Amino acid sequence: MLVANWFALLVLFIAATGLFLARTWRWQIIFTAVQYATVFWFVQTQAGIAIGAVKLITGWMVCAVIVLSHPGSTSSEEKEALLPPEQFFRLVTISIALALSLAAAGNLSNWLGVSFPLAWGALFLIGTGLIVLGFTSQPFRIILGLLTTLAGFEMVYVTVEKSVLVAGLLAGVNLSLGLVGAYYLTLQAQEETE
Amino acid sequence: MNAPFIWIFLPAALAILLLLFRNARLNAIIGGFFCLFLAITAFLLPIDAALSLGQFNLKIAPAVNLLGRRLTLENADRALLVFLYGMTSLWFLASASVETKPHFVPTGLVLTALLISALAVEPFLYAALLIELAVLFITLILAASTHRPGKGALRFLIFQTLALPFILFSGWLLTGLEANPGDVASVTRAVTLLGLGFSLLLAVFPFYTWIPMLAEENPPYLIGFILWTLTTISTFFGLGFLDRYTWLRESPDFLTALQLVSVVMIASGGLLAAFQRHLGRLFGYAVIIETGFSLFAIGLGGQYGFTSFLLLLVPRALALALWAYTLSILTANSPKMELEALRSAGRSRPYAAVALALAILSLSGLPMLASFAAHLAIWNAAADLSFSLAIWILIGSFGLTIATLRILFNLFVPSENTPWQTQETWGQKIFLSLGGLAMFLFGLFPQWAIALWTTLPPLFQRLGQ
Repeated sequence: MLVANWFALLVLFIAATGLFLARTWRWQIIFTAVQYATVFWFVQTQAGIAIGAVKLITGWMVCAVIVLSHPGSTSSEEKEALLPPEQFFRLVTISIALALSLAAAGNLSNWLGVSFPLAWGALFLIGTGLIVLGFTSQPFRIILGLLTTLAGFEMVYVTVEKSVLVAGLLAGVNLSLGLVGAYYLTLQAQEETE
Repeated sequence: MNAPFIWIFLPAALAILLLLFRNARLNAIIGGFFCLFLAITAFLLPIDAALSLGQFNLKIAPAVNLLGRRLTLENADRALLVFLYGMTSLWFLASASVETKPHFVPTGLVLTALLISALAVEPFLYAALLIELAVLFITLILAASTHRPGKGALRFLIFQTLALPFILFSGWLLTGLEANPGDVASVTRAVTLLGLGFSLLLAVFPFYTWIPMLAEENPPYLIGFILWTLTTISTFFGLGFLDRYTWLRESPDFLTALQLVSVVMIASGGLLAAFQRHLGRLFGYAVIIETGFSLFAIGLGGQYGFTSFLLLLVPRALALALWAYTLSILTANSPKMELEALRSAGRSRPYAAVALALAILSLSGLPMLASFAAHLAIWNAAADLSFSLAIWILIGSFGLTIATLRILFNLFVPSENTPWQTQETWGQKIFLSLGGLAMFLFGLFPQWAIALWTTLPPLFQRLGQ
C-alpha cells in the first residue's frame, strides 16, 4: 500500500504539472482525467472504494462533458512551440508549489492523521489549481483550475467527513462546474463563428 | 404537509413550469403573486403548531428527510421567509413593467428556493455546498443573459468556489470545538479558515473586486436581484455560525476585526463610488458599502448590533430594488450605463431619475429617507467606539452622496434635443412613485422597518440577547 501511495503521488505530480504546462486542450483534459484517477486512489484509502468511485466517475464525467462541448483546438494553440520561453517560468512556479506543499504536508499529515503522500498530493493539487487560476483568464482553464483545487480539497476533506450527502453534493458541484465550463465553451464557439 | 415542501419545493416546481412560457410579463405576474402568496402564508401560518380552520385541522411539519439529512424550516424562520418572498414578489411584479428576459422569473424562483434550502439544511454547514450550487446556477444565468463569460462572472465564480473549502473545513473544526472551546490552536485555525471563507463568500475587502465588474457587465435588474439575494442569504448563513458558537460571538478580537474590515469596505467603497462614471459599477460599490454596514452592525455585537442589522434589511432591499429598476428604465433605449450616455435622460424620464436619486441618497443615509435610522444607529455606535471609525464611515456615505449629485447633474443637464417629457409607462410611474414613497415612509416611520422581525418569533435563539 505504501509503495502504491508513493507511485500514485508521482502520477499525481506528473498529471498536475502536465495540466499546468500543457498548451492544448486535449492534453489538459487527459491530465485532468489522470489526476482524478490518482484522487480516486487516495480517497479509497480513506473512505472506501464506493466514495472513491464517486469521485472518479464524477471527475471523468466532468472531463467527458467538457470534451463533448469543446469546439476543437484553435490553430494558434496547435502551432505553439513545444517549450516556449514562458514554459520555463511556469516550471519554476510549479516547482515552488511543489516545495511549499512539501513544507506544509508534514503538519497536515500529523494534524489530520493522514498518510504523508495524501497530504502532499492534496496540497500540491490545491496549489496547482490556484496557480492555474492566477495565470489565466480563459474560461476553460479557469474551470480546470477550480476543478483541480476542489479535487485537492476533497482528498483531505474526505478524511474528516465521510457523509454520503456531502459526497453527493460535492459531486453535484463538480458536475455543475463542468456544465458551466461546457456552456462557456459553447458560447465562445458561437462568438468565434459570428 | 411540511414547510420545506411549501417554501422550497413548490417554488422550484413552479419555476420549471414557468420555463415553458416565453412571455416575460406573464411569468412576472404569476411568479410575483405566487411569491406574495408564500410571504403571506409564512406570515399567517405557524410551523409545527396545530391550526384549526373550521372543521379542518392543519399542522405544517417543520422538516423533511433528504438523503439521510434534513431540510428544516422552523417557526423561527418565518420572518426570514416573509422578508425573502415578500421582497422577491416586489422584484418579480416590478419586472413586468421593464424589459427582462422570460427566464428571469423562473431562474429567480429557483435561486430563491435553492438559497432558502441552504439555510434549511441540517447539519447547517452543508449550506456552503448549496450556496455553491446556487453560485454555479447564477453563473449560467449570467452567461445566458450576456451570451459570453465576462471577466466579472469568472472572478465571481472563482472567489465563490474558493470560499467552499474554507467554510466546509472550518465547519468541521468548529464542530470539534463545541466540546472543547478552550483549545487555542484549533480556535485560531477555525477562525482563520472561517474568516477567509466568509471574506470570499460575502465579497469582503479585498475580495470584492468582482461585484463592480459583474454589475458593469450584466443587465442591472438581473444583477440587482442576484446581488441582493446572494448577499442577504450569505449574511444570514454567517449569522447562523455566530448564533451557534458563543465563544465566537463574544470574542472581542473577532468583533474588532469585523468592525475594522467593514469600515475599510465602507470607506473604500464610498471613495471609489464618488469617482464612478458607470452607473452599474456604482451600484456594485453601493452593494459593497451596504455589506460593510451589515458587517459593522454585526461586529457591534449584542442586542444593539443585531437590531441595527435588522433595521438595515428592509430599507436596503427596497433601495437596491428601486435603484436596479430605475437603471432598467433609464437604459431602456441605450444599454450603456455611463453617465455621458445618460446625459439629459432625466428630462425625458423624470420619475426614474428622481427615484434613482432617492434610492442612492437613502443608501447614503440622508435624513428623512429609509436607511437613515439604521445608519444613524451605526454612526452613533461607531462614534462611541472610536472617532476615527465614525469619520471613515461618514466618508463612505459621503462618497455615495457625491455620486448622487454627479448623477443628478448629468441626468438633468439642459439639452436642446431633449425637451421635458415623461417617457415612462403608467406601470413604471406607479412602481417608481410607490418606491419613492416607500423611501420617505420608512424614513419617517423607521419602526416599520423592524416590525416584521419583532412581530414574528425571533430568528436566532441567542443572537441579540
